[in-house]
Amino acid sequence: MNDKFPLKEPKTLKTEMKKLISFEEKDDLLKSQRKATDPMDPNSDKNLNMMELLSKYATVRSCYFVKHAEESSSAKEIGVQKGGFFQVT
Amino acid sequence: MKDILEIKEISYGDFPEISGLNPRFRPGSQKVKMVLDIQVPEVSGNMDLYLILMKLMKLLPSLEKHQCGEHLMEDLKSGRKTEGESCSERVTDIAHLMEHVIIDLQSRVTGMDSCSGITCGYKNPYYRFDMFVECKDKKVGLFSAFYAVDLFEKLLRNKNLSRKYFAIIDLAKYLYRNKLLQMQMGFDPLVTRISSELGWKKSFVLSLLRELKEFGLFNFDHALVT
Repeated sequence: MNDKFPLKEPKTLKTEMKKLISFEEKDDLLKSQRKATDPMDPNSDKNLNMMELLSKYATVRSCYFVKHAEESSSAKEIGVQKGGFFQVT
Repeated sequence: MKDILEIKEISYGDFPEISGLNPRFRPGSQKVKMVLDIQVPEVSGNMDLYLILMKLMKLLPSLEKHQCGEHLMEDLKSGRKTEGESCSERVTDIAHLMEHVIIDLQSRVTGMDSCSGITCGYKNPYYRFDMFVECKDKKVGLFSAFYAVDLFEKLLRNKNLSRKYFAIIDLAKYLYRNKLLQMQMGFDPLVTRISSELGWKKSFVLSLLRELKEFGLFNFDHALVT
């Protein structure tokens, strides 16, 4: 994908943020038009796209965060703390 | 002064073409995608990623509980990431750390039980990254990406974090969980309500709301009538 917002000169981060807030969302129509893909089929659109992507990248790093059960329940109980800050334990 | 970080593009969708790159991605999950350039000045010998991580841990303590394929945080804490790193490795670590911050913000603000992401470094230019992070809410996704960029711009210049950075997260969470992001509410009533409920000075609340507006947390069409 080509850069959508090529910047010819340094600009402030916040100026750019305002410009970038024209946020794109893939709409339902596009989703419905997307072909079903077979993960094992190297010719499927999805896998061709992934091959294309991987040829563009030098590194791919992945990570995730899972809350433990007790953290999830305590997070739900977080309320407003007057004069202070919320704190997730 | 030229920014170190430059957002080239930001978008939102399910991006099925990258779903296979992290088996933790939930099928069909929505994600924020940010294309970011990280151009660290050559005179940056004192850029200490360990110190940056310590500052981040104070802001987002749950970072410590993240799972990471590269053991980034353990390596930073143990000193296995040394100054001998190449520039390419260093910017990759910075991008990856930012992805962790965006993930943590999703969970912290929206209460997501799990959140996954990937950071893909380009072959050329080496300082460009595609980041994909699962989101429960589009606006929170956008906010998290912008906040992380603003935060790292500060951290990479060895600045300390002001109270503002802590309070912005708390306020974003408060607004999200009280369903105030979609409300058509004038600026003054919102400031009064937040000030009253959180016990913060109105001027402080006002400054935070302005920041949040710049971070894309509000729907510009109808929120925050200024």
